[in-house]
Amino acid sequence: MSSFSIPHIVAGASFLMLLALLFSLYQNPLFEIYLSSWGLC
Amino acid sequence: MTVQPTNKWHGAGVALVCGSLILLISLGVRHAFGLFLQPVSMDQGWGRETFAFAIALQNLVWGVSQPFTGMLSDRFGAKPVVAIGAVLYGAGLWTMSVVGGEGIFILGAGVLIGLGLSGTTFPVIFAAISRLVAPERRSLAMGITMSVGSFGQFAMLPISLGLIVAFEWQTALVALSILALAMFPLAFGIRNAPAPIASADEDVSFGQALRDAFGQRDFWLLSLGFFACGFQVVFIAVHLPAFLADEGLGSGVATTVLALIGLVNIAGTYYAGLWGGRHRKPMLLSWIYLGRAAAIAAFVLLPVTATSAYVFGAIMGLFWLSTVPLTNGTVASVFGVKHMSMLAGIVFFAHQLGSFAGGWMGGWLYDRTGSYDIAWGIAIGLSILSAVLNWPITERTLAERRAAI
Repeated sequence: MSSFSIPHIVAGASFLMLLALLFSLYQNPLFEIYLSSWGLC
Repeated sequence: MTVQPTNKWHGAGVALVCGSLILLISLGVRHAFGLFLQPVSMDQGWGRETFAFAIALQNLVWGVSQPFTGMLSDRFGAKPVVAIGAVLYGAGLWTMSVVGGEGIFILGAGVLIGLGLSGTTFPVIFAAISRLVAPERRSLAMGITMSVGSFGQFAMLPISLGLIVAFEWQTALVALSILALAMFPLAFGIRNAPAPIASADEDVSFGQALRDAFGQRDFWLLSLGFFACGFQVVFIAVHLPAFLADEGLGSGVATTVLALIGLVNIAGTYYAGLWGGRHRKPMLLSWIYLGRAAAIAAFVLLPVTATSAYVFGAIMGLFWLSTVPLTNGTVASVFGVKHMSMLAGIVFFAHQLGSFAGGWMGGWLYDRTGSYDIAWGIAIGLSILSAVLNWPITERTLAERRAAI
């Protein structure tokens, strides 16, 4: 099976978009308040 | 009797998926606890010590119970251990959501979830999956499951924050409790399989397996090396935001650095598992620890800027949990998989001691010296020491070691 088949590309792109979305959620200012204690866990 | 898997994945697909999802939930939910400190402490009228103590206790309970949970998993299979762990995990989260006394909260967050974690995390999952796949695929299988677990850590923070903001913290904890209970049915996807025995040296009792492990220099070296991992990871996770604030950087920088660590860690754990199947795992561990030492040294010795912090976060993310599949994989290579959960649990206990030391000592040294300089120095020193300790470890099996005497 080729690593560059259409389903693989779509799945890969979707996953990257999900990661980018999650990363952008970290920029929520509330995180700065709540994450002051992030390291406890 | 010698039993070896007859094909490369040995029908382990379902177990791999279920094991990965279990790690996603167990590691992901735990990773988000820090978000609850402020709302829980404020609502309950507690100081921060109660929450902090509960989490510290959770880490200790997890570490101390892991060898015993591993022993049960080796004896009865991962399925019942994960199932019971899921119930304890869910019960612990539900208990946290109940507005009771401090004792109830500490029981839930500290004891129940600590026990739940020991039943649903990598020493148990890795050993179960390692029994199903051919030896040459074990490292990759561990890398895949750990990578999914790392994704869980990265994803659960914003998801948990969203739950807290939308529904208040009690409801968020109940939702996470239900999510933890989802590990219960997933446990039944992990097929119990007899441990493939490569030689008679692996087909021994629990007691003999312990004596064999404790008699091997490499077992101690691996454990000591993992202590350094725990120290560094928790020291950085706990104290990096304060360090960056001391350097005049806004808390937004710390948040982005932690996000970068979580993001790159997904790739780091996968590639560690992949390369661990192709190269000597202890050697890779040495390079990881050397990489950590170099990254920390460069970060603290050069002027600290937002850019240097982001670069540091990305590099540390690459080396963050990549030690986990390699360390557990080395245990499997040397001692086999019959008692892997228990032996990996003992190595993990050393990690948790390091975690406790990293979290506590960082603050203790800061309070006495007014800076993190000594703590960073210890982190670098431990990293170099760990690289030296891991380098001479061989992956020869017990039988090969005895034949060489």
